[in-house]
Amino acid sequence: MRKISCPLIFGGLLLMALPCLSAQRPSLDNSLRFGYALRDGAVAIDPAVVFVYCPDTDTLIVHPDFAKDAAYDLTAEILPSGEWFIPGGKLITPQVAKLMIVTGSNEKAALRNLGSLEAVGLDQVAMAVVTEPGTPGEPTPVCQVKLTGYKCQAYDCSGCASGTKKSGGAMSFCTPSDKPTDTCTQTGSIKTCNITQYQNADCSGAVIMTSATNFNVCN
Amino acid sequence: MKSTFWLGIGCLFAAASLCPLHAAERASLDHSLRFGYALEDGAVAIDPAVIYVYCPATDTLVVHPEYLKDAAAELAAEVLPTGEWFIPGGKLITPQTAKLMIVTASSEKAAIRNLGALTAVSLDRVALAVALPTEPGEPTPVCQTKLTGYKCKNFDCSGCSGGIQKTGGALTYCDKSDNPQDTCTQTGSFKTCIITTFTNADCTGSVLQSTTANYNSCQ
Repeated sequence: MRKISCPLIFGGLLLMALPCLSAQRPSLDNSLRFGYALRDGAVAIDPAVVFVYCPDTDTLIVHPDFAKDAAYDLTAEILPSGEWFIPGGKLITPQVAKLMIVTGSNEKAALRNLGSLEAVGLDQVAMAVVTEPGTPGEPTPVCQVKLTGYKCQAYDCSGCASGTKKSGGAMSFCTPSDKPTDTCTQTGSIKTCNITQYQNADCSGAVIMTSATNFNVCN
Repeated sequence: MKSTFWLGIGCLFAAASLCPLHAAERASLDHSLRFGYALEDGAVAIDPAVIYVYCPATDTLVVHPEYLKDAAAELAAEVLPTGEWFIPGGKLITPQTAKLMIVTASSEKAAIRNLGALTAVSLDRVALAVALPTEPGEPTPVCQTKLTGYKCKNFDCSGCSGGIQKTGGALTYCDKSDNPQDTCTQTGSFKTCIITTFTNADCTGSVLQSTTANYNSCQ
């Protein structure tokens, strides 16, 4: 009798503990690289961001110093009302960044791109993240992100070398560049590279380890 | 040869870690500050139960528009002609009035009850706010949250019963109420309850399992 009831009680206790708040450490890398200041809702961006465009949520975030470049890249027509008409029928009012999210690891880029923006700490911002769609089974929303100080790097996820087999084909990803004026645009299209470690150097025998890495393709 | 191989694998993972990947996450209101900002235009969006959220550390004050007076009274705030609120302790804050209500499958009833003039928005279209320490290891900022449709419940985290020992003392937490008029204010002060399962019914012998639950105290 006790053996059955104990886990039930225990489960009940755990359920009761649900209204708890657990703080999660945010990361710019796992976010959409923008967010909103908790103090007043002002738009805050990663120092590398030129623009973020998510058609599914009608989101368009722009660094004020790069508004013209963003409109050009998105082939948007800027209407007198301030709205942007983006090919495909989208009519969006861009959200212009007022703050720049400065962390220990991005201080250099922040100094370079701060312009008229004000610095803000990551803990003072509600970060936007790509979340699973509201309805299960629907595709994850795609966002296009243009970054400055990054360059698009190709990566060949194929072949066998020293027992490591890569499969997935040609990939690309944005990597930090030594040249601050370089730019890289993440398309929001994700490609998966599967890496399998075999027992033998010719990628035969038993599988020792397997891993999948997602690449946010760029151009 | 072997070390070269592992170095290769390491480099591969290091290269992959450079990619700002967007891992889709399942958003949860329970682990948030119960408010956020719409990705479309930055409008403030709240959980259906929220009357107000006040975080002195980040100068954040989010209010349901129909409860402005109640919130001001409860925070002993003086509403200035400028729209700013003077809160005892020297805080001068402009409240952020909610325009949207975050509706999920589990909060539909409460949303219908409290929607008022707000517009419904789904969780995947909102950047949720979470409480985070300024630096890792520092205490998490304290936020005071008043909820409607909840009541403050006591929980005795002590004693031994059926091999389960609870340690932490008297706790409180906001629990859902059958009465929609009930209110509960989370103080933002957390108390910890440690639940340990022993092999013997009198809480002696080996420890089978131990879990820690944090309770957001209420009044």
